Amino acid sequence: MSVTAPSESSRDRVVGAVGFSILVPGLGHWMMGRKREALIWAAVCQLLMVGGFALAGGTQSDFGFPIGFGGIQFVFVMLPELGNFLVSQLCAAFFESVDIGGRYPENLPFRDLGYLMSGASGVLGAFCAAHAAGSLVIDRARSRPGDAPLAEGAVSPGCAAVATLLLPGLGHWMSGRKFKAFLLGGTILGMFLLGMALGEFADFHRSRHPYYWVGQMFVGVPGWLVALLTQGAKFDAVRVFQDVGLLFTTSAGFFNIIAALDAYARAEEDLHRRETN
Amino acid sequence: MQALLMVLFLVIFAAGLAVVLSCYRDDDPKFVMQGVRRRTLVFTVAVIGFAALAFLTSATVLYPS
Repeated sequence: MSVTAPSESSRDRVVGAVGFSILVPGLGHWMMGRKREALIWAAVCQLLMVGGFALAGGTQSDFGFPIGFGGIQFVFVMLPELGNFLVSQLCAAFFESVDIGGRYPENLPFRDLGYLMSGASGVLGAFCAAHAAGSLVIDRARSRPGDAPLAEGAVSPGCAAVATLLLPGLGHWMSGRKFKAFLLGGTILGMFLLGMALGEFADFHRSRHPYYWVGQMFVGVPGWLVALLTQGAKFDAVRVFQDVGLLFTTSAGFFNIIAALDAYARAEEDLHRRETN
Repeated sequence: MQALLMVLFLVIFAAGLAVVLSCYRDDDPKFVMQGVRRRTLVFTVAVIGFAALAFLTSATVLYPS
């Protein structure tokens, strides 16, 4: 893939925006002066994270592990919540898992919804970083003297990436790549739904498959909706192709990350090409 | 029947992987489709090759005596 790369100073600013956004979603936008977007990102991500921890009784911590040295804990690793780094660390510290308190997590009525919310917060935090980086690229293109308006077919790389999270292929559609949009969207959603069917729609569940669940969360909004609708589904026996189903659904999530990266890179390439012309 | 289904799932997975990789590598639909065909074949043959090798070694040199 040949892509015209941004200048070194732009890359440094992009790295900064990504770092601040991972630390606190919205902070990267705030540093760029995009305060409205910053507040929206922050509110959505933090409400989902704190609400998710409250609904799940802090049991997200049961799926993570601390990293430290000499008795001092540096980081509590919880995936994908780590995409919203600071607040996920605070939640892990302040919400004691009900499991530790001797209560059964299974009795929490909205535990699965809580997992989905906190997981979505982490995934959104990561995509917020992509959005912040894309906003920088757009701002730079707009600030060039004598530049034509961006309206004609130009899409922000960050918006293209976030759109892929809303619906696989949507980011490519927005940048005018309809063939790739259908191909990628059809492949990712097809693999995800085939995998769910092979697992009798019971394989998107954090308690049963915590490692697979991390990948499945990256399918994005369609995956989250399917997970919400199938929370009650349970295995009544081990299915012949259950493992294939888990592999397909998890791979679909990872494929969607690549699709989002491609949507970002192609939109950025379009902007650079336009600048060069 | 189960073995055939496993091969079918392997081809589906290889095709999915090929689509994503080809879309990442190329932007032109013509090149993307060429890449999908080639990579699907390569991934499928590679996995079947490894499976055959594993089967043969487990039935011969790695078979407990």
